Amino acid sequence: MAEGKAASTLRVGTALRFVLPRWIAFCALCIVTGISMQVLPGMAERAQLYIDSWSHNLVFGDAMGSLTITELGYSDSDREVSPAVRFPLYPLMVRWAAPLFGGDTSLSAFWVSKIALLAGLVGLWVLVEHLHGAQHANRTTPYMLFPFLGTAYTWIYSYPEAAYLALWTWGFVLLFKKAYYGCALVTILAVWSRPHAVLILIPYALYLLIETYRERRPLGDSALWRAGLLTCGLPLIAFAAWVLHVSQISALPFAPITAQTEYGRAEQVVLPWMQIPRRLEYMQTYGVFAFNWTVLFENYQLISIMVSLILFGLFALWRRVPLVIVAFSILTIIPGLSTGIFAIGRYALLTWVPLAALYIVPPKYDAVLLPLLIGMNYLVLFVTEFSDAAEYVP
Amino acid sequence: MHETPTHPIPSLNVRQWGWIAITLIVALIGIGLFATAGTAFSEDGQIARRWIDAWCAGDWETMYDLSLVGDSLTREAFIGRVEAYMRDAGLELPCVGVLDLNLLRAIPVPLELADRVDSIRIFETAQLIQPDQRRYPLTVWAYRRTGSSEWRIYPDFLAPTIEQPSEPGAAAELIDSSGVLIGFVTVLDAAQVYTAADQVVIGVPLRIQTLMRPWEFYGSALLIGSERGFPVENVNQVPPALRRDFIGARGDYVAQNLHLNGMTWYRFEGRSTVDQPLTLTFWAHSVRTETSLSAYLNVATGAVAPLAWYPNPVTAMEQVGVRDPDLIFLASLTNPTDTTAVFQCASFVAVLQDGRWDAPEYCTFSPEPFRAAFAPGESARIEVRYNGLQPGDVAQILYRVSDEARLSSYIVWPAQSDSELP
Repeated sequence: MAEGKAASTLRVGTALRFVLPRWIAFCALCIVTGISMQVLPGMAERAQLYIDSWSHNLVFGDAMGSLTITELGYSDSDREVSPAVRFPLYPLMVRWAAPLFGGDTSLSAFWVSKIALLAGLVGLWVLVEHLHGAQHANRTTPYMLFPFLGTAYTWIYSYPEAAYLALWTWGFVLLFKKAYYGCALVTILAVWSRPHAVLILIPYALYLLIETYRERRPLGDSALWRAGLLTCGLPLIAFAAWVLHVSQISALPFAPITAQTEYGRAEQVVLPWMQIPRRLEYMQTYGVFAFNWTVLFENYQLISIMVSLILFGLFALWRRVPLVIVAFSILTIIPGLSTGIFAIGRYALLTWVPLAALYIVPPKYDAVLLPLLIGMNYLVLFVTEFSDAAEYVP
Repeated sequence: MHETPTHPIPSLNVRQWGWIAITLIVALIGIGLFATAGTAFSEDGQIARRWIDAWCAGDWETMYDLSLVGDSLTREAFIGRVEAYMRDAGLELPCVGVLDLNLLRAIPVPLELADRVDSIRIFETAQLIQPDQRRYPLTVWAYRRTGSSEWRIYPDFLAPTIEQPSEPGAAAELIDSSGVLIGFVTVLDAAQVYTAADQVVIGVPLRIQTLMRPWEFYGSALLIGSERGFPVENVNQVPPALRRDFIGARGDYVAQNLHLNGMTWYRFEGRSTVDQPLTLTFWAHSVRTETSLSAYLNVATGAVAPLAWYPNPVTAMEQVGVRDPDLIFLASLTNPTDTTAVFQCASFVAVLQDGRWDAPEYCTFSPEPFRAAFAPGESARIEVRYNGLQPGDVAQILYRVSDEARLSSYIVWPAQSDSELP
């Protein structure tokens, strides 16, 4: 019954009324982008771009990796780069939805990712409304769709990240509302969506301990253990079950972790902040050649992520942001930063980092900043993916 | 009467039903994930893997069954093509086939295939790991035939399996891996065939046409039946007389919007005749395209001529006599090629009765006595003078031209059949 009461206080309808029109406009923008990639001269000759399918043009880079799982499933990895590093929820949802789109998996991927994005934006709105009120909640949608990290391509393309955005935001919403059973269900899905999603269990546990301490209950309190087993225990079992299952299919022990090496991760694990001196050393070694657009944006992302995390640390001390949200953000980013700088913008996108602007920029400047952010996010696409020099979109 | 106590029947409210429904949905998703994760939505990956495994195991029958082949390519012809391809590429068995399923891509279906094929996938990263660990790259195309759920591998590098080759005079389209038309190639005329005792050299007159994008690479191969010829890439690999309008059979950059007419050349070792139809295959990569479909073109066989690196220009030679101190021969020279040729006086080597060789003192070339350039078809009679020889001293006169390791040598006096010495 507590679950029902908790859910009743959620302002989902209000959130949906605000988010839905912006989401529809964003979907239209995505379709226009896909069609542009189809018809602009020379675009179709680029790898992974097509002259006859706008939705396929939006299955780019890592999104293609997920679509491959949709198509081919997981398999033994002894002769190839193992797909086990990607988790099954999104690709298999795309597969299950494909019959609705005549078997066109790229079209299915587009709509599954966009519906997940809608759920994520609504979840984020509800979460921010719970923490900071409706005014700031209204600001989350544009700042998340066009983040200052320059990673809007994650939402424009049919990336699997949208699914995790929906799951971690709703996980925290239900946790904060003490709807532990619902939180457990959502988090079970979350740990099947990304390898590092399991790290969300640490801030969950931290939250339960803080609440127990705040309510002056003992550590042996049955309510704490019941909530802990639900929100942390069940998802952990679900995560372990998947790791075992995919390891068996892939014929590779602990495949989601060990297969990371084939993708260039985990070759040299360093402390996350060591990425800054390493990057400086890299630029010193390669000089002017290091200053292409990709490196430039990676540097920008690295610095802005570090600054944001320091800022959130201070905000947590001042109790302007829940400690568990900051812990969640740091824990999500650490695996990425410790194993390589690439795609770090996307790691940070699935944390509180994109919302740093809410805390820094006064609302009256939103109208000025947002067009600039839209421009910057498209600039990232134009000068990286659409250029001859860049290797990938940072 | 004894009354039993009544208890209200517990009922679930709407919210509780909602949670039960959500629980069921999550459970179903979980079951679905675990049950279907190891299965494939489409079988193209499995087919591609079986195909490359069959190759590495030398199981040509299975490879043929999994390949998309037309009626014109019999099982025996297919196997012949595979074996010829392996010989040409220096591939050995057994090998290990590597196929990166993460780099699967869909390709637009070209219009001319639309009625027969409804989907094309490309596995861009496939490799055959050789016994010596050498990695040989392949591009594997999977085609799904219209009206069928079956995928088959299109071995475009082996043979024109479903598309008929273009006929001479008709432009064959060159399609890159994004399905974009990047140019045309046309066979303009019959092939020029030159035969020797142990090799055949064939020139194919063709037109290459690029469109809006430059090519970063192009390649071609000529097949006699299933045998692939060695593609000649450099102009000095064909006899000088055949070098006019030379186009390398493989090459790098070709600019955009270019029409290029010329001859590509192919050498077949160990054969002396052309006894089967000729097929030309041609492929090109535009900027950013890592691979492309091969185009196939039928080539008619033209007149066959003997292969001579330097053809014999001496049509007649006679001994005139001694004009002290020289023994004089009179040679009739004609440039038999269609390019300007330079003849050297030193090419006339006198083989003496005792086996020694002697070189001419000079010839009556003009304006200078040691060499002269002849236009195509141009003729002249010249004296070749050997100092200090008597009429009975000379056993033979050879006309010899060498170019690094290549030597052409003809007996021009006393008169012999016009054949190049081995």
